[in-house]
Amino acid sequence: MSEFGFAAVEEGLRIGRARAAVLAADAANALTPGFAAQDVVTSPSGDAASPFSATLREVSMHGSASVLEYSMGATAKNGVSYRALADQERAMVREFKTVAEEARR
Amino acid sequence: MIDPSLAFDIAASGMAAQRANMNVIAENLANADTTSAGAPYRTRTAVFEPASLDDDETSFPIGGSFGGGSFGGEFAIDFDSDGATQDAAQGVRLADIVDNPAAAQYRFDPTNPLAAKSGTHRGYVAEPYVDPIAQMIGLITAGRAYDADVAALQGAKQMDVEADDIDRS
Repeated sequence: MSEFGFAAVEEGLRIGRARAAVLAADAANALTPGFAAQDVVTSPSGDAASPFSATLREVSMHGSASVLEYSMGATAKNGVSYRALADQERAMVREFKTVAEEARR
Repeated sequence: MIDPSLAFDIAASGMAAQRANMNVIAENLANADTTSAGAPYRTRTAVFEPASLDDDETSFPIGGSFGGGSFGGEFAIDFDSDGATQDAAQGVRLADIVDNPAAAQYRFDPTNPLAAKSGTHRGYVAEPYVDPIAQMIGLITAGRAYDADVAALQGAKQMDVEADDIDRS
């Protein structure tokens, strides 16, 4: 169970990292002619072996200003999600250490 | 494993590109009233293009296999639906600075030492066609793009701080 929890949270952290890079590319290329903004979309896959499905999708935007605002907003939201996952990971590590110490006594 | 510095590199490329863009716009505004005897100053426009960083950095080999537990599957982001794995996230670079093809404006100013001494434009001075409103809009947009790059950079930095904190816990 704990392995599942750690693996799921750590995968979420990795996806957050990847999404940060994709959103950074959106911001960097917002004024590039012909550039189409992208984002990482995650959803439950319904598969027990691989419960997450993360896909790179084109984001429909009109104008460079829209891409910039979307990128900034999504970056902020992604940062909050990442922080929540990091908090969860730290909490699980603490719990894991507590259980290990209890077991040693 | 994703390169932790990828978002930094991409954001930095965007900041460098927008700084160059602002320089071009500043040059246009600075020369808005520049007169000349011959061909006048032409406004210039920065043109950007996506720039691939190292292949190792632009691909996203997200995740991997998890051993143990009920979470034993292979996890991967489907970046490759149309073979776009290498283009998933790219930086940007200044591709070119192009001259505006708009014709020069001529103002009758025979006392100006740069006025044409002969020809059809005798007594006229050539002035560049600079639309200050369009240039200011471009400047604001470039500033906003720079802000977005800074936000991306700060977001990536905060992620590094969080990751370090996990390591320490």
